Amino acid sequence: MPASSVALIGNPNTGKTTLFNKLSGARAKTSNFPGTTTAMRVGRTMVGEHPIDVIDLPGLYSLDGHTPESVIVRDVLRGEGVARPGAVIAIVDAANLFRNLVLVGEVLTFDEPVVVVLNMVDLAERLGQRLDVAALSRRLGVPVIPMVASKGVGLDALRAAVAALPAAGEQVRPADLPAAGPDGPASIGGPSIEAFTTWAEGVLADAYPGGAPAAALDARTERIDRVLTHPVSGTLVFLGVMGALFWTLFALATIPMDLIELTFASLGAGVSAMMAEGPIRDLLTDGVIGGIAGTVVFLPQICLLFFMISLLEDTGYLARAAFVNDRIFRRFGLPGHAFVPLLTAHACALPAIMSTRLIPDRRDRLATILIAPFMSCSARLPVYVLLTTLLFAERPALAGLAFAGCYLLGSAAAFFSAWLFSRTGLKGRPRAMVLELPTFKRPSLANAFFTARDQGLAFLQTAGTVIVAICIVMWWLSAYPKVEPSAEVVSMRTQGLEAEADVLHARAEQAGSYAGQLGRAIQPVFAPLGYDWQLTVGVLTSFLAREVFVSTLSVLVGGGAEAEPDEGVMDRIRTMTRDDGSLVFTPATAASALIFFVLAMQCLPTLAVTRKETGKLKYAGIQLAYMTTLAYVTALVAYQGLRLFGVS
Amino acid sequence: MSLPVSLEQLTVGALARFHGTDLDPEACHQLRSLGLTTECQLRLCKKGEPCIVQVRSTRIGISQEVARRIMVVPLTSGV
Repeated sequence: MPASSVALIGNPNTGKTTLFNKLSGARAKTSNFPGTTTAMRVGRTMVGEHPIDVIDLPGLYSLDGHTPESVIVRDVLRGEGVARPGAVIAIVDAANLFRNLVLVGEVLTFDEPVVVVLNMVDLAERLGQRLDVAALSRRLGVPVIPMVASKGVGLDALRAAVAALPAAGEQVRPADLPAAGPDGPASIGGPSIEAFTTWAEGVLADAYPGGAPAAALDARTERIDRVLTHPVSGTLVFLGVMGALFWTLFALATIPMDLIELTFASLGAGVSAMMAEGPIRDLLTDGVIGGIAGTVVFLPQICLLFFMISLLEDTGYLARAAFVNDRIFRRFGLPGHAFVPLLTAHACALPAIMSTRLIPDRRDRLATILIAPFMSCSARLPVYVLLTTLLFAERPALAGLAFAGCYLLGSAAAFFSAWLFSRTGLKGRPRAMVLELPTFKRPSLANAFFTARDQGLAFLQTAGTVIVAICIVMWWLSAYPKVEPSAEVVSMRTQGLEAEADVLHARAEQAGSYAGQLGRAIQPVFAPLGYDWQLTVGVLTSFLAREVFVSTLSVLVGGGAEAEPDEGVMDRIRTMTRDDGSLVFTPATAASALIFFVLAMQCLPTLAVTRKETGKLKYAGIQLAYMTTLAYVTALVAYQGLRLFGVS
Repeated sequence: MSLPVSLEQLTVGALARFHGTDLDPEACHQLRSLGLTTECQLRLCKKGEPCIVQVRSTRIGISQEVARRIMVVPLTSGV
């Protein structure tokens, strides 16, 4: 009878995830390790007639030390906080056996029965390495299974070896294995990495009858590395790769995003047609369906981005790219790893914050999460288009410059804030980079697919539920209390002017809603920025998502709720008046609003993801307070400064 | 016997033995877990930012700031 569960342990880049996917395929479930934000995947595979759980543990180099990965794997092997696995599959890179054996030695100090998977034996053979597998197995005292996990070679032998494993404590350990410390395996006072290194050298000497392979230099890898890490050619390659990545992201994600919006719009219309008018129908169509649509619409970007990042990571390129960016980023207190999240944030801050999982150091990761939303995401585009057009109505060249300036301002604010955080709340310099440069490999489409699926599901299960709830609350604030149609609206309807009456009534409802009332109440706060109550309502309603600002203004001037208003509506927004009859959008007000929207945290879903990824509400609060304050102060300075120079 | 020198002082292709470093314990642990343990033999593959060394079959990228503080004993005439 085989063990009921088996844990997969191995160094990074040994093909552990590939083996996990081969063993458990599409049946894996992702969750977090108890008390951490580190993801754990559990799948199921059949060993003979028996189903067993396969636990994919984070890749690590050593059980020693205080890295989150070491702590988690030690806890799992000790059964602390989680059920202890019945057996361990230790996966090693056949072409890089020496360093991998250090971890195997550490794992062998535990009681769990172990199978060693010697992965990528094809690569080792191509390098001319002649390993005696039987001798290695005898030396380690455990079964050793040669495999090419990416092709499924050796899977049956692995299953058979797992089925034949003895009970815990019954495998005989090598006599020369460094003994565990007084407090048990992998504990303080136990053997050092050096002790396991010496032991691994002895094992290697026995396993290679012709002598352990020398550290041969791979001329092709040398040449590629020189290009990819060079300050000029490395930067050019990086810009090319990222350009291709984001072009693909924008080009391909648009199709499913449009489809999702269309599907939910049809669903809303269908439900609306089936139900009688009333609050329940409004709640279902505008609140629930609208809220779910507003969440699911992010999925294509998230899945596609993680699909492509997984492909890039598999090739071994990301480690090289991290060094290229590290030169610049370090000056601002950010690690080179931050480049993927910060670039991604130009599409959407949600996948950007999720992709900070690539950053190993917690301080560096927090700094990146806090500043990522400063990058101008695609949701800001309609707002930028509207406000730059209002600012430079007859001067498209200047409007274009202002548009580009928004991107620059956002990036400058991000790097300034990172620099500021590194000297205040997140004191310290980013960890100097020391990274393994993995062998260049062909990426696995299956791995990329499973990664995209898991990240998409994780987003829906955690952040998604919060986002839907927030959407419903914001919808309620914008839609209630209901305002009775005015005499003018009733009169228009009797004259058959239904469309005009609807527009007028929508404007009155917007103004009379809780959000509208709140807008009037807190307008004095925004008065120094030049905003009247209507602009304040726009700022409040767009707290859900920035693009709502445009549809709110459109409704307030009597247009529909479209994200891209037509020319007639644009003219009406341009000529919107305050209660005293003066224009709402003077150049100073438009500039102030533009700056506010570049810098402000007007995106509740982003805050939900920040809370989830940092594990603390506090960081979402800090992000909101810091970004809003910076936006407010900068917009205030711009507005008052322009007025001082006679621009009003 | 050669005296220890900083890793960044080696010439590309030179062989050396890891001698020690004054980096913080966490950074030391990171180096050790990647295979840069006391007395291990390494080859310098690339200088500059980043510096690339090979320890047996493992290629390790090391930022210049760290490379400066890693002391090695040259085994070939490569300084």
